[in-house]
Amino acid sequence: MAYSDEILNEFFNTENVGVIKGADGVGKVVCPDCGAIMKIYLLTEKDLIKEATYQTYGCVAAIASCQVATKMLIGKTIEEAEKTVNEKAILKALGKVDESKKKFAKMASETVASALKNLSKKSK
Amino acid sequence: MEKQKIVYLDNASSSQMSNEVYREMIDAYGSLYANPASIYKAGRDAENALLSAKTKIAKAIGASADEIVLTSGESESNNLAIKGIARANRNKGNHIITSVIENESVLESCRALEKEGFKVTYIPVDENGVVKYSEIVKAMGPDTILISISVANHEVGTVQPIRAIAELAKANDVIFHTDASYVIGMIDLNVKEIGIDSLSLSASKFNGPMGVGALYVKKGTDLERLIDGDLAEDSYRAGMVNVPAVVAMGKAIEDATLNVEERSKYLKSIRRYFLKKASEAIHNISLNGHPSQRVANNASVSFEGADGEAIAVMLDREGIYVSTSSSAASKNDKPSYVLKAMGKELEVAQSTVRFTFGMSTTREDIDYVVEKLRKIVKKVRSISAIRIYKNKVEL
Repeated sequence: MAYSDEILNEFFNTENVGVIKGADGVGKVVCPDCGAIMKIYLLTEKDLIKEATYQTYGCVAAIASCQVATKMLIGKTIEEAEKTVNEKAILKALGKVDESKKKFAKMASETVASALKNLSKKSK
Repeated sequence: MEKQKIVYLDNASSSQMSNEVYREMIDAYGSLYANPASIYKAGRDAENALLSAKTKIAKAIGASADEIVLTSGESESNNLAIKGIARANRNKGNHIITSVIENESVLESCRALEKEGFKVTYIPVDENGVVKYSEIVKAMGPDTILISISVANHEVGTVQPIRAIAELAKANDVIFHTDASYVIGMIDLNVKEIGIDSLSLSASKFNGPMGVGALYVKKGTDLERLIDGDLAEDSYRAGMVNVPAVVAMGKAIEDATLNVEERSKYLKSIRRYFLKKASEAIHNISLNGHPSQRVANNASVSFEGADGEAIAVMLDREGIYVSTSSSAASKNDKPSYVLKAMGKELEVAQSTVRFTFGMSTTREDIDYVVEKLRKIVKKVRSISAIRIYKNKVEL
C-alpha cells in the first residue's frame, strides 16, 4: 500500500502540531482497535477559531488527517467549522485513501466535533 | 545531485540476490527455455537443471532430491503442506495443532480446513513468543494428524522448540510440518536428524529470486495436491515451474548454507551493534521476542510513543527500508497479531518496527540508520499524543 502524494505532503508538513496552553476547547478520541490517539486544541476569539493544533499517536494517515483538519479549522467561525470540517472534507483533501485508512478521516472529524463541543461558554 | 544512500533492512520480507545467483538465473533464462517434461535434448537439459537444483535444496536440509516439491514460495508451500497433508490423512483423524503466531498462510490454511470439518487447536505463546510446549502436549489426542509450528517466527524472530515438538509428533505417530522460510542460512537444519516430516522454504528470503520456493515432504507421507493438471514433473503439483528461478534458488541455498555458523555469527554481531547504538541514542525502546533464542538477523523494536508506520515512512525518505511488523501487517491497519498474542499492549504493538539485516549490512550502514532513526523517533514523538520522557510515559 502506497500513500497518495497529498497524504505524504500533509504528513511531512506537520506545522499545526502542538499544544495550546489555555485552549478554549480540547477534543480527544482513542481508537479501540488500533490504539491511535488524536487530540485537537482550539483557541477562539469571539466566534472565530484563531488557532487549531493537534497531537496524534498514530499512523501516517492519522497524522495527515489531523493536519488537514486543523488547517481547515483555522480562520473559520465555529458555526462554519461545525458545518464543513467533516469526514468527507478531510477525505477529499487527502486524495486517494486506502480503504483500511479511511477510518482516520472519520476519527479526525470526531475529534474536531469533540473539541468544538467542549468549547468554553465564553467563545460560544 | 549526490546519490542517496540506500540501506535495505527488510531481508525477512525479501532479500537481494547476490551477483552470482543473479548471473546464474540470467544465464538460465537464455539457455533453459524448453519444457523440462519434453523428450528432446533442450527439455532434458531443463529437467537436469531442475534435478540439480532440487539436489542442492535437499542437501541443504538433509533430504533427498525426490522429497522436494517445487512451489511458488512460502504461502504455496504452507498451503500445500497443511491442506494437502490434512486432506490426505483424513481417514486417520481430523485434528490439527498449530500456534497463534504462525504465518498467515498457515493460519488461513487451518481456517479453510475448519470449514471442511477439521478441528484446529491454536497454541498460545509466552511473552517472548515461545510456543507453549506443554499446551501442545495437552492438545494431542487420538484424532491429531498434523502439527505445524514454524522454526522461527516471521515477525519477532523467536526460535521455537521444534526438536521437542518433532519428537512428540513422532512418538504419537503425528505428522510434523514446519515453516523454515525465515531461518535458512542462519540455523542448520537436518530434517532426518530432527524428525521433520514436511518443511516449507522460500527463495526470496535467502537471497534467491521471488516467486519460487520448495516444500520438503518425507518419503511415504500422504499428501493431496492442490493444483491439478499435467503431472509430468511432479505428482504433487501440476504445471511447469520457472526453471531459471529454480536454478537460482538452488545456487542461493547452496551459498546460504555453505557456512551457516559464520553467517549467523556475522548477523548477530550486526544486530548487537544496532541494538547497542540504538539504545544509546534513543530512550524508551525495547526488543520484542526472545532475548537470545532468536533468529540471527531479526530485531523487532518498539519505540514507546512513536507510531511504527510513521517511523518507517520517514526512514523510507532517508533511503532506509524497514517494515512495521510483519510485511503483511504493513498493508493493513490491524495491530500485529503476533505481538498481541505475546501480551503486548496495543500502543506497544503499534510502535514496532522490524529490522532484518542481511549479509551486506555493514556497521557503517548501522551508524547511518541509527543517526536517522534518532532524529525520526524524536520527530514522531513530538507529534504524538503520548508524551514520552526518559522512563516516563504520559497519556
